[in-house]
Amino acid sequence: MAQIRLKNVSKRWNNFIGVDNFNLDIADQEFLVLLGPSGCGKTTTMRMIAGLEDITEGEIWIGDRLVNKLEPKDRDISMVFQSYGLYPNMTVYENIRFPLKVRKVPAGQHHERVMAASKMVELDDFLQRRPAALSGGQRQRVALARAIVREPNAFLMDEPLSNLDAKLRVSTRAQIKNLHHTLKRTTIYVTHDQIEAMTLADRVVVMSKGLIQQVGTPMEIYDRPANTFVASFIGSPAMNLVHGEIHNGVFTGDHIRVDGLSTQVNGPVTLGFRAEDAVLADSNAHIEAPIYSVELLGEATMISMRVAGELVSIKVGKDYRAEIGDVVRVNIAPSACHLFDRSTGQRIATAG
Amino acid sequence: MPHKTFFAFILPSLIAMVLFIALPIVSVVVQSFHVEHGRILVQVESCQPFGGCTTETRVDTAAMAELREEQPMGRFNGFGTYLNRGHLAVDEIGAILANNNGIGDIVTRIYNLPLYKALAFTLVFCFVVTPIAMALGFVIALAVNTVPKMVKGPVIFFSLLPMIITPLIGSLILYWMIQPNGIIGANLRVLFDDPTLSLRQSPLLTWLSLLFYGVWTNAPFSFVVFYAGLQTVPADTLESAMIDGASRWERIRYVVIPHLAPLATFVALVQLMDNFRVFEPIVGFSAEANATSLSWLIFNDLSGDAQLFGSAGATSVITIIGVIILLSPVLVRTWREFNHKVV
Repeated sequence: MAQIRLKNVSKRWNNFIGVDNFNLDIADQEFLVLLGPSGCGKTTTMRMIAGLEDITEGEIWIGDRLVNKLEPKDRDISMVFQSYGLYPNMTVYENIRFPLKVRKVPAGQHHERVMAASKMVELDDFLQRRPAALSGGQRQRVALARAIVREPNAFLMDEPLSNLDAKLRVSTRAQIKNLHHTLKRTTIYVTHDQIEAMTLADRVVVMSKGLIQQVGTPMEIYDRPANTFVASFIGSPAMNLVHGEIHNGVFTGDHIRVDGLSTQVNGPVTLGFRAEDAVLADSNAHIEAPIYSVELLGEATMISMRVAGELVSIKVGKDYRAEIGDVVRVNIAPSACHLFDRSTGQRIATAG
Repeated sequence: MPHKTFFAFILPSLIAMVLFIALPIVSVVVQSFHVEHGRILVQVESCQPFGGCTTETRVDTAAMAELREEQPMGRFNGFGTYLNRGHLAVDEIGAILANNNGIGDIVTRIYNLPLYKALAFTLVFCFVVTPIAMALGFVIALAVNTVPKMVKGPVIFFSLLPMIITPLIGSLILYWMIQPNGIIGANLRVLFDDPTLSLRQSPLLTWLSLLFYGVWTNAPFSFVVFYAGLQTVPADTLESAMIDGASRWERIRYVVIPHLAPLATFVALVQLMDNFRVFEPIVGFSAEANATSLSWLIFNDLSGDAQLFGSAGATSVITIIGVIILLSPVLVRTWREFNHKVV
């Protein structure tokens, strides 16, 4: 059983900081997702846990072992790579068996364990093929089977779905979720796709520029983003962020005026609200602006307009029809509004 | 690409190939069916004023010059040259097989026929040097791949030196070193406490030093190709092997070697062809007493006073056939794989 603990872990290449002072406790059997844009240090963090990358500073504990100096093979983890990392000269069966073979697992167990793993990822019909004769999704399932066949203490997955097409991504995602439920192993999953993070994670770590921005359950991160970076990264579309001034609970900006907000905050702030929290109004609306564009999504319609210099999107019913240039009036419930410090971008805690 | 464009594109090199490769080969084949004219002899009676007359047999130079003018290639000999003692020695082998004292005797006597003696060394050179040089080159490539960037350049340069040095010079240098008064030869004498030890006198030691030289000069080529190949080994696969628990050797065995296998076929082809035509070290080592090769036989035919074009041509044709036989397994395999992939 493996808790994974990272203590003040840093990675630097000369002057470049890849990961800065990373502290995190990952509980046993937890599904943890590292989320962030390219270059934020999420893959580096995972590679340090795997042992593929040296640690400049800090400590990594897996279970009760300090693994800083351990070889990857001695850390009792397995990993799934973005580009699969299969052995092209071996059949699917041999690929899955490989970890057992090189770890000198008694040969008598091999067949049974390979078949069990292949059954879990539904590869039984392809065992005699070579990776070149498989589709991307099948290849990634081979990689998954190879990772689970050894029954390690922890799984590491480095953007495993990035090379798959949209439809396959959804089904493989479900498969990974189900595998985690069945196997009950600590799983660390790296992705830049916030939907994957929301759907898979027990907890999400949002990273940017080598720093942890927020750690929390998907709902916490969605409902209470810690700063404007997280707010703009999570959700589809991302949270609308509008710059303005707040005085006595009233936020004002170009084309926008929201009242009923916290009276404890005064001065320049950034107001955030989600597209689905806005509702159309008749008069005396919080936002009153001409439409910039109309997008039909099928299940809803997205309209956007310029408010205080920013493009703001709101989600309305799928039957809503309007022309570009028409003036729209929108209300936002004060409870759905988030306030962020204008200079630091940090969330301003308000009562309620 | 349309066939016409493709044809126009390769036409210049096609012409060059026909002119400089195909036609000379045809000429060599034709030459190999001819042999030098026999000498035309005339009886000349020379009478001296007081001694009476004597008849002498002389070469008729004028008639021979005329004959050479008429038939510059010599007289047609068919397969005669191929079958004579200097080449395939069919009659001699028949005699040896018909009348001998066991296998050892057969081998010794066949080995004394010039072509078979040369063929023996050539084949041994091919099949000993090629695999060892490839293995050595692979090991060097693996080693260079792991040294820090700082020293990589110099290490690569030193590894390539044997290939940069002209073969004749390289073999001469090694030859001088193994002479009794050279650094290696003298040290070997001290080491084995045997003042008469000479690498040159013993056939076995001569062979060994030739093979050593062959490995030394051949390894850099394998090294360069394998080193380039190592840069294309997929990092993901290597890393997943690391995590799966493979040791360094198992990563090489299961990931690197399969990845480099097609390159190894290519290297083996090139090296086998090269080594089948081994020549320079025999000249450089002055080793012809103990080791000869097919190329050396050709050189020997052409360099003496009597230039035996027919004999040299026949040996050349035999060499070409040898190369084809040597490469056929690989070519057949490549051809099959190619067809297999198309299907």
